[in-house]
This record gives sequence, structure tokens and C-alpha cells, in this order.
Amino acid sequence: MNDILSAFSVVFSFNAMLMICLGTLAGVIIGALPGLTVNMGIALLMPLTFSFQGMTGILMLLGVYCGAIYGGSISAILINTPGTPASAATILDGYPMAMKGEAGRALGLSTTSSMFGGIFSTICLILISPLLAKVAVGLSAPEYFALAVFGISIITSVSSQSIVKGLMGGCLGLAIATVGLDPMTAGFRFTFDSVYLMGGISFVPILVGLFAFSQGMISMEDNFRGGENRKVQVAIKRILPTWLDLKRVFPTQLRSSVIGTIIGAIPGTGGDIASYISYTEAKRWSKHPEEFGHGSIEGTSAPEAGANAVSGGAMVPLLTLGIPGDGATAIMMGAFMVQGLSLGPLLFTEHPVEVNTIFIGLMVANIVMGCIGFAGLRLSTKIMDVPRRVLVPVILTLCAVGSYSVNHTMIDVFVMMAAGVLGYVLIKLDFSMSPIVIGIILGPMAETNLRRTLAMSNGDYSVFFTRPICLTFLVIAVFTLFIPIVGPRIWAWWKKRSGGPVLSQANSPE
Amino acid sequence: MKKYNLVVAAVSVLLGLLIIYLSRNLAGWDENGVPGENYWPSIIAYLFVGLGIVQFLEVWLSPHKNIDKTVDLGSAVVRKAYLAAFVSVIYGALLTAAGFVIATLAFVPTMNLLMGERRWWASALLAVGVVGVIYVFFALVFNTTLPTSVFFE
Repeated sequence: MNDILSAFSVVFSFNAMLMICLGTLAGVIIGALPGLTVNMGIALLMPLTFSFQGMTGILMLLGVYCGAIYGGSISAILINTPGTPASAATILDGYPMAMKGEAGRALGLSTTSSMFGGIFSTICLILISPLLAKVAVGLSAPEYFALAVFGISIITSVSSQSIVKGLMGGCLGLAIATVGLDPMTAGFRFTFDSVYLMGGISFVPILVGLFAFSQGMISMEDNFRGGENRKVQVAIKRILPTWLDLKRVFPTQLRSSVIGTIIGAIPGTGGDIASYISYTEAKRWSKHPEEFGHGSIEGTSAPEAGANAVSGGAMVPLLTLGIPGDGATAIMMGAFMVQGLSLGPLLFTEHPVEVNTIFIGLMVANIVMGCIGFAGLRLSTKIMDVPRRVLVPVILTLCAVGSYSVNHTMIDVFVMMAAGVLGYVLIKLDFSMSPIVIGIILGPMAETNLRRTLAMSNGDYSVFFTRPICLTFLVIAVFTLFIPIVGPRIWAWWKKRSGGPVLSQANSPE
Repeated sequence: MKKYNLVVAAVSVLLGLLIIYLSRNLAGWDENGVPGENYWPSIIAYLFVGLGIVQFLEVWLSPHKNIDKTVDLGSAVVRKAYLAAFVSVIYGALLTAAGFVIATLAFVPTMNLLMGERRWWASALLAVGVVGVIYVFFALVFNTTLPTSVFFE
């Protein structure tokens, strides 16, 4: 009880509340601006949090995370352009509603549904994660290695275009993480007598470069390709949803929140999948399926509730097992590590106040998100009109200042720029950035526990196959690794066998 | 895309070989069967080589995959993006030499003009705004150190 009260006092302190509000506001703005992603927002603001004492910085990032997922719906509804991939399904009915002169109603419903989904998933997180952590508390080195392998295996799921390139990106992340002191012997590896490299390559400048600097370069390119911002051309009248609307969409919100929470808890999935499944299920269960695609209020609510419910769901494996479910949570995990919090089952016994602070903070962030959503909708529409020629210099300046602020060395700034250019080229070559981050974050955990296990077993690998939990995680990892590769082929074969239309990767319209 | 996929495959294999070469002097397994410093880098190196070979095979076995997809790494607009990166590197050097305020007051209008802004006063206003907001938030509110000139350290 004392832990919960202490956590309340942390979250409801003036500084923490201010940071949650600022973080959420920044998240909503970043999410609402097409082209700026959730990952970029968290990466860009993460260095800022290191100057904060205690959990304040983490609370701010939770605000950015929640706000950015929601913010994407604003541009989806108003200008038919999703601010984030998770809002792509919101376009299907949100924009038709706006075209019918119901932009305010659509925005109000999306805000309510986002808040509902976020709060619902946070409650699930509070109920489920301590139980899961209790089960996981007896894990030792072999199980931790298997967990790390499981975490790394989600690379195939988060690789957007090519699985092989995703795995290459993961290896690149693992390779970057090997530079510096050896975790077991403290000997130097790949340091080339450089004092800077002896401490390892700081991952914050790499993250900022890969997610934010590269995005700045892409925006620069888009600016000259003639892709200027689309202007908001719809009028916003009533924003607060009516009681009748709320009553009608409540079952949809509840169903979508359950879907989003479950999907969020599965590593390798994300808000985009949750929102599309939520939309499909909403249509299937709706009494008015004919309205879908023409401005259905259920069609607008379902994707938003599903996408925002992912935030709490994704925190379950992150907090209990130390496994990031996607790029955003991988970056957040890095922020936790910098704050000295090592995520995993021991977090719940060693840092109970911090865990409760995260629970309460996530809940508050979702409520603040709703308040900012309703209060600042008209302002958000103005923000979407900000041209790229203003945004790009701001992003690039923040990248430099943020990278510098971590270790107060200019080398980090140049490392960030090199990572940014590399990221830009890799994106052009169909690489995803998330696998690189997952490799950097989970590499040391995998290496340390693998070598520790082999040291304990005198080099005997059978130890990984004789421990049930370890074996279970390894089997799940193999499935996670190969399902995105084999799954589409099996599906195509099954459809062909049953006589249905085949739409495999090879012959899809894409 | 096919050409670039082959380049990616070659780079992956070369990266793997480079890691093997660089880790040649690191400690291997000891007499008790405990893995040394080169154990993990070697695994990564072999993964790079293996993935490079898989990438080669993918291009070879599925030559029509992504055949319509083009990779633009050298057009005029892409060169503008490289130019932005180059200007940023100069900004980095200027940060070291002149500190945050002066360097940013020069960098923001330069980037703004580079992106097509023709109103000099708008660029100047943006520069002052960016410097002001970042200074207030980073230095005053969050107590973060901003880059200072080496001449004033």
C-alpha cells in the first residue's frame, strides 16, 4: 500500500504532471503531423528526459507514446492522411464523416474511443502484469537468453518489406552492441584504441539518427517532390459526442479495446494490425454494416479504441519479461535502462514504486490525452498546416541538441548524423529501423546470458533443451521467426487447395 | 532494385568477414569450455554471411520479385537530402566552434532557405524562435547543457 501511495505522490507532483501534459501534447502534435512517427517522437524527446530525476522523464515518454498514437487520427479524419500507420483504418469512416460535415462528431468519437482503449488496456496491464511477473520471477540465465532470443525473433514481424533485410538490420544492431567492454571479461572489443568507443557506442544518438534525422532527410526530399501539406478544408462544429452516440459505440469500444490489448501484448504486432482487426470485427458485429465506408460512427470508433489499447498491452511483455513488442517500446526500454531500471520480472520486486508509478502514469497520460484532445482540437488543425520548410530545420536542430545532451560530447552529434544518413539509405533499400534498435537493446542481454549459461554448463548446449521454460521460449521464438516467412506460403497453399482465390505475396497487386 | 539487393547481399557477407577478421585476436573458448570475447561477434559474423547468401539466393531464385520497384539514391531531390545532411555536419562543426546560439542562428535560416523559403524575415524569425524555445526548455526548464563554444570552455 505504501508503494502505491508513494507512486501516487510521484505522479501527482507538479513536475511530473507538467511533464505528462507536455509529453502528451508533444505526442498529439507529432502524431497529427503526417510523416512524423511515434518512434520518431519518442526518440527525439528521449534525450531530454535524462536530465530529470526519478521517473519524471519516463512519465513524459508515456505521455508522448499515448498522445502520438491518438494524434494520428486527427489528420486521418480531417485531411484523409493518417498521421501514424495505426490511424490508417480510421480514414475509412472518419474522413467520410468529415466530408458529410460531421468532422467534429468524428473527432469527438475518436478522442473518446482512444481514451477508452488506453484506459481499458492500462487496467488490464495493472491486473495481468504482476501475475505474469510472479510466474517469471524464478528465471535464470538460460531462460533469460531464451527470452532475449524470443525478443529478437520478433524482428521478422516488425520488418516491413523484407524479412532477410530485417534480420540483417537486427544483426547490425547486435554488432553495434558488441563495441566496447566485453560484458563478462571487461576486455576491449572493436575499440581501436578510441577512448570514446571504450564505453561502447551510445545507443541514444543512434536511435535519434535512425528515427529522427533520417525522417528529417525524407521530409526534405518530400518537400522537393512537391508533396506539400494538405490543408484542412472541413468545418468543425460540435466536438463532444452525444449520449446517444456514446451508447451506440460502447460495445464497439469495449470489443476493440479487448482486441487491441491482446494484440499489443503479442510482441511483433502493433497498432496498425489492432486497428484493422478492430474495424473488421466492428463491421461484422454491427447492426448497420451498410454504413461502414460511408461515415459510420462505429467504424470511426473501433480503430481508435483498438490502436490506443495497444499501449497498455505492449507494456505487459515489456515490464514483465523485458521484451519490447515494437520499435516504440524498444526505444522506451532504452530510456528505462538509462534511468537504471532493468525491465523484467525482478522489476516488480526490486522497484515496486516505479512499477506503480508507470501504471498510474499511463492511466493519467490517457486521461490527459483525452482532455488535450477535446481542448486542443481546433489548435491541432492549425498545426497540421505547418509547412515542411519549418519542420525540417526544427527536427534537425532538436536531433543535434538532443544527441549532445546525453553525454555532453560532440562526437555523439556526429554519430547521430552518420546513423541518420545510414538510416536514410537503408529505408530507401527497404530496411526497417526497428530491428536495428531491437538488436542494440537485446544484444547485451542475449550475449551475457548465453555466455553465463555456457560457463555454468562447461560449454554444454543441452542445458537450453532440458529446462522446460527455456525450451518453451525457444520454441515460441522459432515459431515467431518463421511464421512471417512460412505463414503466407501455407495460407496460399491452403487457399489454393480449398479452391479459393490465391493472393500471395508473389502475385498480390502490390 | 535487383542490383541494389545484390549489393546488400555483398555488403552483408563482407561485413561478416570483416567482423571475423577484426575479432581474430580476441580470446576464444578456454580449456573449461567457457566462451571468450570473440564468441558472440563470431555468431553475428556468421549470421551476416548466412543472410548475405540467403539474399543472393532470393535474388537468384525470384528474379521477378520487386522488379518494378526502383531505388532512388541519386536523383536531384535525393541530392537535396544529402545536402541537408552535409549542412547538418557543418552545423555540428559550428556548434563546436561557436556554440549553440550562434550556430543555430546560422543553421536554421540556411536550411529554411535551402527548402525554398524566400522571405528572409520569416527565416530570421524562425531562427530566433527555435533558439529561444530550445534555450528556454533545455537550458532553463530542464537544466540540460547546450553545446558551448570551445573558445569559451
